[in-house]
Amino acid sequence: MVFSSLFFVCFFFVVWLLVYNSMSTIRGKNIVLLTFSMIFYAWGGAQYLILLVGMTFAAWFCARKIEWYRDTSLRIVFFILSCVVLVGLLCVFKYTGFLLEGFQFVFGIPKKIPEIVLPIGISFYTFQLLSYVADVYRKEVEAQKNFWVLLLYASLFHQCVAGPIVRYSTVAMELEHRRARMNEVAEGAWRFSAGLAKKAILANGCALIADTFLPLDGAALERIPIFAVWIGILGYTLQIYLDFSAYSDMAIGMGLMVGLHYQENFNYPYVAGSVQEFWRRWHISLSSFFRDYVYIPLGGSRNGELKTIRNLFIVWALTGLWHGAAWNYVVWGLYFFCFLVMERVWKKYNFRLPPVVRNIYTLLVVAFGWVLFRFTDFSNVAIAVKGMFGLNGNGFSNLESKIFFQNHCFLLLISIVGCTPFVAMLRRQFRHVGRVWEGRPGRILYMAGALIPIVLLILSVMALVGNSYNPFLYFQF
Amino acid sequence: MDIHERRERRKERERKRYWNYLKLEIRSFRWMLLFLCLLGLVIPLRPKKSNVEKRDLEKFPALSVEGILGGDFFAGVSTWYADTFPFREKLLTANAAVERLYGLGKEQIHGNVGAGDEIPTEYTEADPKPGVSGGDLDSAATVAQGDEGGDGTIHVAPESAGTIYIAQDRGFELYYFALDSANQYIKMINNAAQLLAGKATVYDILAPTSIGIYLDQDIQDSLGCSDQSQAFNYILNNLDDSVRGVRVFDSLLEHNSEYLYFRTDHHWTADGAYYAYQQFCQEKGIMPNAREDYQVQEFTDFVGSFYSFGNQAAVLAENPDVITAYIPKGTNDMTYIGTDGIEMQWNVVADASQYDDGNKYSCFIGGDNPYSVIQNPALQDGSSCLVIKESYGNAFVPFLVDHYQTVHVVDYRYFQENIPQFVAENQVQDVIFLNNADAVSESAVAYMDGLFQ
Repeated sequence: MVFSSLFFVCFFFVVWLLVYNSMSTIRGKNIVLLTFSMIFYAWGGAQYLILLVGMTFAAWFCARKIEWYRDTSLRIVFFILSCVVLVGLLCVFKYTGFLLEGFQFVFGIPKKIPEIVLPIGISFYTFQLLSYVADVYRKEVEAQKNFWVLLLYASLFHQCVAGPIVRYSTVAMELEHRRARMNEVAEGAWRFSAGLAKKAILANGCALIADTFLPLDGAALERIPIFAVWIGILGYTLQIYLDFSAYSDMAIGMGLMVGLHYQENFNYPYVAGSVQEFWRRWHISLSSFFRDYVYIPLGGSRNGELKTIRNLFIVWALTGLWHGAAWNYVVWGLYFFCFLVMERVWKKYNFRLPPVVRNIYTLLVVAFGWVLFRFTDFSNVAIAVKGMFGLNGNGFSNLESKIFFQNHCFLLLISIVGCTPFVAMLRRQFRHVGRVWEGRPGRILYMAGALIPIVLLILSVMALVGNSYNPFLYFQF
Repeated sequence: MDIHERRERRKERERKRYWNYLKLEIRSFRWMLLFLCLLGLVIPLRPKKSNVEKRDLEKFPALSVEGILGGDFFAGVSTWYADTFPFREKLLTANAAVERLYGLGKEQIHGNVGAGDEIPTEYTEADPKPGVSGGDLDSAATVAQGDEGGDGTIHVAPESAGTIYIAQDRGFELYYFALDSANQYIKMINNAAQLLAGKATVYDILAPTSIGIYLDQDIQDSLGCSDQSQAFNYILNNLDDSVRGVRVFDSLLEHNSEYLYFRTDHHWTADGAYYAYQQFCQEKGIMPNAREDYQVQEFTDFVGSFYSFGNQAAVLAENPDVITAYIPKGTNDMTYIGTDGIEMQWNVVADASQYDDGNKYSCFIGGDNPYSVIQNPALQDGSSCLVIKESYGNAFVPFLVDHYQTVHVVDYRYFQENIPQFVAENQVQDVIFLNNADAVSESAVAYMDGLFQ
């Protein structure tokens, strides 16, 4: 199930809220939360539920043992065991095909590469469980005695399939003691609706622009004129942020509604002034995972320049690989590695770009990164790059691009604004004015603001119905 | 009241206001969700078919163990839930209205713009370069043309149609020539002529679509469209001498100030078909009837396929078409066999005034049916013809009624019998192929070819 489906928004989510709120004890609430998480997960195929439960069990068991043997060297055995099981299963399901393909390329065997379906959310919940076991090993948190609570942590449908990668320590307390405060419930409703609208209206709209002007099919891509290629890249850049951050918004919103506090996953990454800053603002839960569990354990930046660069290299190759089992993702990760190293050098020699140039530079680097990210096939990357500089012989623009751009220019504009802190700022100002402006007009204006979530909800439902309306999906001939 | 107390009161008011604000935000959110949830549960409100999209909507999936383990069942439930959401069409229309705010849309394009193949002058085998041929490979999506066969159900009748371009108040379908398809079409017609040699005369009518007749050549070029006139010439010039190609393009172009094509639909009007009929008569050597001699029926408020496949463009809905139908002099009675195999008595020109706005083109010969036959009691000479057509033929057939004792009509997408055998059994003298430019596609040719195997 995905958050941006009518079935989730109008049925699953509502029934969950009703049943959850009808429970009076935390135990009851947790049982409801766990049951709904299991159903949510099983929706993508009940067989994968076994994997999720099994991996959680392994993590629970090992963490208990680590704690049990806290003063002996046996604890490291269990730590390694859990890492082998968790990372091993992740590799089997996510990277078997990729590894065998490489093997086949070099040695010519095996002849047939088995097709393994990627279980939903495995990249996210594996990392959550890994962080849990590591934290227990590092004695930063206590091991969870109750398996079901740990399963609740790993399978929580708010973040199980699309992040953020919530640390166990963040929610450990709240899993068993939590209270939803009224202002947070209201904030949750806002975050949920805003996230839904971001996905259903803006991200899906931008996806259409990206699919039209940056098509995955090489032959079609070759025909796109320069202007349109750039608009396509802009569309894809917007889509990928709006889409991903929308899921995090909805997850955070749902958490707030029940008193669970997940950390922010995005902090307006496109306003960053350097690639380093971009990664501090983008998918924060992932970059901090790699920072805390890979980069720092490897020595971080404390062991000299060479080792630092080695550590960065490992982190970014892994970051790339985490995003997908294909070479383009690895290249994409290492692409950022290069810029990060470059920025380190700049810093060393006290070189700084002027303010606006800095932002443009970052955006260009990131946007081009998305081109690498989009095409699993490198020959298509080459076509796209040629297209950016007019080397496919298509001229600057054509009628189709012009019309399509005209028909979507406001959507692009709104999407761009949606990537900046502007909306949040406007909302703060609005609420402030509404609160201090005495008298009737002030009150009405203020109260109208409270209805924005339902307006967004209605618009999103319309857009979701609209999405199912796609004549071009129904090929008959 | 001292200043302290006033400040306190003010704070208190603010706090209360904030509290009310939160309450309103949470309550409205919850009630709206509850409303949506309940609405989604009212199964009788769920539509089963979509008039605007002209298709049957998803059905609730069948339960199976594999479906549950693999997730197909649940995916099916989600799809069903979304696809048949209550008030779906109203929500679609509302959403289309919102989407119009995405930009300044004077003109619109729905679908992908591609490129046609070069049209050769001599017969040329297509270059077997994969993935670059235009025509139906790139842009063929489907216009599922709904037809109201009396009982009101929608029979999804696929027709090749692709990218739609809307300018001012008129829709166009972009035309791309595909050399491969054209060659297959030529082969198919020549083969048909060979099989029917000595039994019947084969006529081939290629109907241009509105873009070739109405749209400015420069705009056509900038959209990469192919020249239909050249394409037809290529096909007709390469047909066997025994095939009588009917050239209708120039005649339609000459009259392009008239109402020959619908603005909101991809079909031609009866007037467009009339000029094709005139050319056919010339080719056959008979006198066409004058339009003034017919009894006329008009149906207003027709909003056709360009509307539904152009994301419900408002300019089209605001400018509905009028269908003018000419009732044959000899008879207005016909019989057809529907896709369900049931025989129906019907009218050549039926009263479409009560049909759905999108289905009014079905006033001609009952829409697309596998087989239809019209017996003209005014003629007793044993003359008979067979029209092998897609839906462009529907507006054309009524004109033939007065020239044959029997007019057989088959829609090649549904008809399943062997044509040479049919021709022999029914003593058909003229076999008339009628296709629009977009129907010269691989899939359509395959359908027609199948009738000669």
